[in-house]
Amino acid sequence: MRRVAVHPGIPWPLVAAGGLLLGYLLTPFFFGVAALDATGVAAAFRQAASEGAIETSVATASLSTLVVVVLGVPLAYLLARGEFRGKALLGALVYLPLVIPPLVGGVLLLAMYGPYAPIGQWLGDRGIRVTDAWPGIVLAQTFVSAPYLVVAARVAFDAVDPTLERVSYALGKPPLATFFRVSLPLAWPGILAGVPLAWLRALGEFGATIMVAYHPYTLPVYLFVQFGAEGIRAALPIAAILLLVGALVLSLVQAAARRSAGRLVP
Amino acid sequence: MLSVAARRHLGTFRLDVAFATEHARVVLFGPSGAGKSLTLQCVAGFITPDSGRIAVGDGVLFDSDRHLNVPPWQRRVGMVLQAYTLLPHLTVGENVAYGLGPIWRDRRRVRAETLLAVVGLAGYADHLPAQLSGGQRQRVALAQALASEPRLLVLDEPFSAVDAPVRERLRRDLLGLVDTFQVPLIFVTHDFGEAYLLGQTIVIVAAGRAIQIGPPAEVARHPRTATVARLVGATNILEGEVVQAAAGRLTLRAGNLIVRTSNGSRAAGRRAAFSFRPEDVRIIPAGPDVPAARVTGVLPRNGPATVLLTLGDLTLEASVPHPPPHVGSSVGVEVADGAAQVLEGDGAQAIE
Repeated sequence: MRRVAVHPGIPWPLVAAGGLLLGYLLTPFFFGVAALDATGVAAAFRQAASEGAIETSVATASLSTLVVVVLGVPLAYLLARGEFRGKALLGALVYLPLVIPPLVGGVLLLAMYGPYAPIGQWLGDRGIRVTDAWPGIVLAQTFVSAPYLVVAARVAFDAVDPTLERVSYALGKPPLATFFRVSLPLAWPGILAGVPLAWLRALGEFGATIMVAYHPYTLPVYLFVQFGAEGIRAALPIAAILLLVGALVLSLVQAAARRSAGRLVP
Repeated sequence: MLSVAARRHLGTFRLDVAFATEHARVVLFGPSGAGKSLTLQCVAGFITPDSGRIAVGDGVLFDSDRHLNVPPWQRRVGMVLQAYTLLPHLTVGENVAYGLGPIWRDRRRVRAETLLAVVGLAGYADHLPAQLSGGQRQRVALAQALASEPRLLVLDEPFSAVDAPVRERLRRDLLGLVDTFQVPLIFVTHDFGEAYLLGQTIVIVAAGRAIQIGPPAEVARHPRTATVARLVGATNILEGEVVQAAAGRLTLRAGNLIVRTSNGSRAAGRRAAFSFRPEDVRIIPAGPDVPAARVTGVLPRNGPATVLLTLGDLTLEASVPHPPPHVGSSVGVEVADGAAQVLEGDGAQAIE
């Protein structure tokens, strides 16, 4: 009789290949951190704050994340539950912002919202400035970060048993009430997992943003400007700020996930 | 009180059921894949028939002629399914209160607790569904369905995932609840014992059609076709010849075996298929008028054993009280007078 392996070993070639990639991914962080000094980061933080870059980045990233959640959750529900022609195509189109270069996205947005583009002109006539202003930044960030949230929310809705929605209908709750009382609460943890990803993607957004709004500076644009003016020594502390924010957010997410996993056990 | 007619094509499957009854407890009984659950989904409003009419009392839920199709959330059809379908993010109390109309917060709580007490789960309001056993969850599901004051309950094998002793208890309690709340129900099962216990009317569904409708004793005693006979446990299905037809009763012969029916009309000399239940086969000493059969197998059961017999070319099943005869022995066989039932169709092709 063959013994069933409880913990089969992972073949060493796989370990070696995986380890190589992991090392490659982590090495730049090592060199980057080694070249840093804490006072430099603090000074860069103060300067970025006085330029308004930190405020702009945090505010616009939060605003675009809000837009993405409010509009992306319904879209995800539509993709998960809807029965209509072209659903598969629509599901694929949601990934489009992920696969086109952000610069291209920026060009497309300019073609729409630029001062001489149809919508941009119409808005401009009514005193609403899109390019080189917060609205432009938010539009660019929304464009690139939406897929992260929509994909996460769709997976979360797919995991909700449709039978539970039927039970809710049978108990007299129409579709909208059922959405808010059954589908959304059950999918919420999965949707929540997509929120920090969307937020971080919005925070780090550069390519589309710089096409639409060079000013006011967001942190990535500010980093690019400083790099152009003073080189790597000025850019590195700003990069460290973005890294720190990313690490902080991800560790908060991890902690929250552990807590909710603990709560599921009765 | 209840009338259902629903036709629907689903891929290669064709649903075409129709039944009507004045009884409050209707059981849809038949093999898996026969269309029972599909019929229930039509009644609850989750599958729209291509054509048909579904009415409960004065309330019409669906009528293709009048282009009427009440949406599920307005049908007031309470639903309990086999899989545990309580809302997992709500407490037991919140689950029960879920279907209550817009009433005061305090009253919701009181109403939920009252209903929980009725189904025997007083004090469980603050538990989560995941903390309950399978039987308890189905009790909560019943309370939840009843709370919405349904005009009809539909139950799709609600107890089949529950342990046997609990299942028996749940069946009895369901009868009590239906009586207390005066709510009609449609119950789906593939267990004839359960159908017999719970149904005032049994609708036998096979291959998408309602093939026989009647009270439990009636369908058990008088299956109209070989399919129904097999489903209700009249497992002795034979083909023979009508030797005498008199006063609405028939005498039939298959091989050496002579049986008598309590009804039916068929001309003497005709071929006919007939069935009888294993309980109606008696093992007695063989004699001049009693044909002898060989015992080819004994299946012990908790209760009368199933004895397999060979009588010439015939194979019979008998349900015999303890002690059963030995395998290989020779016994006399008699079928209770009037126990046989002539099946529709002529002879052999009726059996297939």
